Amino acid sequence: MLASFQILVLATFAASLVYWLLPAGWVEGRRAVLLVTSGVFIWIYNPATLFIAVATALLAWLLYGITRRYPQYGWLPWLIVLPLVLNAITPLDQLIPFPAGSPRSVLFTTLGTLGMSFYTFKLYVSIKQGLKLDSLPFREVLTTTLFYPAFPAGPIDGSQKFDHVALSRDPDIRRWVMGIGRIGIGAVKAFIIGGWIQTTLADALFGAPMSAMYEQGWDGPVQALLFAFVAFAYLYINFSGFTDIAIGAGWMFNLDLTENFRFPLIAHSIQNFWQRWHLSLSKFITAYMFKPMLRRTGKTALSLIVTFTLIGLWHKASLGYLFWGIGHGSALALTAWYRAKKRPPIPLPHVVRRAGGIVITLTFVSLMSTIANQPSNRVLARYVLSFVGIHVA
Amino acid sequence: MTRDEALAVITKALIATVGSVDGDLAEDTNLVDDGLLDSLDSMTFLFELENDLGSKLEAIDETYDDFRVGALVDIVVQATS
Repeated sequence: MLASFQILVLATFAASLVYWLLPAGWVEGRRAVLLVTSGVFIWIYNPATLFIAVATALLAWLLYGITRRYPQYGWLPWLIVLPLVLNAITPLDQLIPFPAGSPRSVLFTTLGTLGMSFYTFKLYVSIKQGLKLDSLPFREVLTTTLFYPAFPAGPIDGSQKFDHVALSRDPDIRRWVMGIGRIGIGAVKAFIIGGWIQTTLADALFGAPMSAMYEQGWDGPVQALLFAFVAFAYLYINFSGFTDIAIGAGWMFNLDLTENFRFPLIAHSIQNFWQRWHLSLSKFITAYMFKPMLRRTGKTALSLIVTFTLIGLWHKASLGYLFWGIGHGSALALTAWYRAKKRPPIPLPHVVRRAGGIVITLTFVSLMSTIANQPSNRVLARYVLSFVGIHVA
Repeated sequence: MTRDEALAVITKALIATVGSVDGDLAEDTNLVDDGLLDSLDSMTFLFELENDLGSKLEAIDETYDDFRVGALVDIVVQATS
């Protein structure tokens, strides 16, 4: 994994040098550097993935053009999810007869599936921004889709991050150096701390690495709860590490990708959690799903539950993520209802309420996340039953 | 609608969203940056505002993010003039 990471760093280093050798006026030359580097990376993973990503970008551009021509059909941009739905039914890269056995890198093991989920949302944002600005060049759509550091795990940014202004900036050596530092931080989080949690810490706590727990099961509620905390800590460290790598790589090209995390482990309520966790997704949910649904239904609770259920299924069409969506939506709805009803705060000192809020929120999101990420319905049932002391082999 | 009337409608929508508001709203208050609304609240607030006005505010689309009270008053006054 680290070897693949080293290749990514060296490629980014070389690409950024070529990028900055081109004068600021040669924006399309700089764009070509980004596109060629990204294209090569994704091709190495799987040529079919590159083909599907380019085709989806083309679909987005066409949907933009059609919606611009026929604004009365405001739902048309949502058709961008069609490839994602098709992929959920049958993995698209297996349908296309590209040569088998392409040299997949370990770093990009899940790149195809995750990448598609992320670039689908990026493309929707790009279409909406394009309609607002009345301009969406295909080359910007393509750069947004393929930009390789952000391809597997976001953040979810629209085409504006890769427009003419962004690519014509002067070199900034300070940001370039900071970018290398940020990539380093991301690597330490994703590979070293993440690896330590997955193996050493899990082994010390459960007598087995995390991956083995799904096979052997959990002894009881205490171990199952502890596993939830450890699994969520791993998810956060790993996910935020990859986001750091993406943002750092962006800085090396003087590009600003959206920050995705603000210390989510200290969130003191579920609302506060969504102001700290996966911010680009949170922004997407709020702007493009929750608000239109609220306008349509007029019901906050219903809109929250439906929105988060759909977001859960966007992550993965599974029972675990269905529970995750309903759980998060319901918790947010309950919080909104409680606030709107002007219920008095619980009569405890502020610091106690805040600490209690952090513990309850962390417990809730850890459990929801662990339920969502169980590898199968059978393992999910085994995990849930362990909370009532039933051990299923 | 006058600016004072618009401010009253905004205050009402804010109370419907978060339960209560301490003191009067000033035009330079930013409802999000000053912590009165979070991102989800802000959408509920805009919905309540449109509900109170009885019509959709064209200036506010999905990506609207200027929650300065003065800017909202401008929009409400313009929409009702």
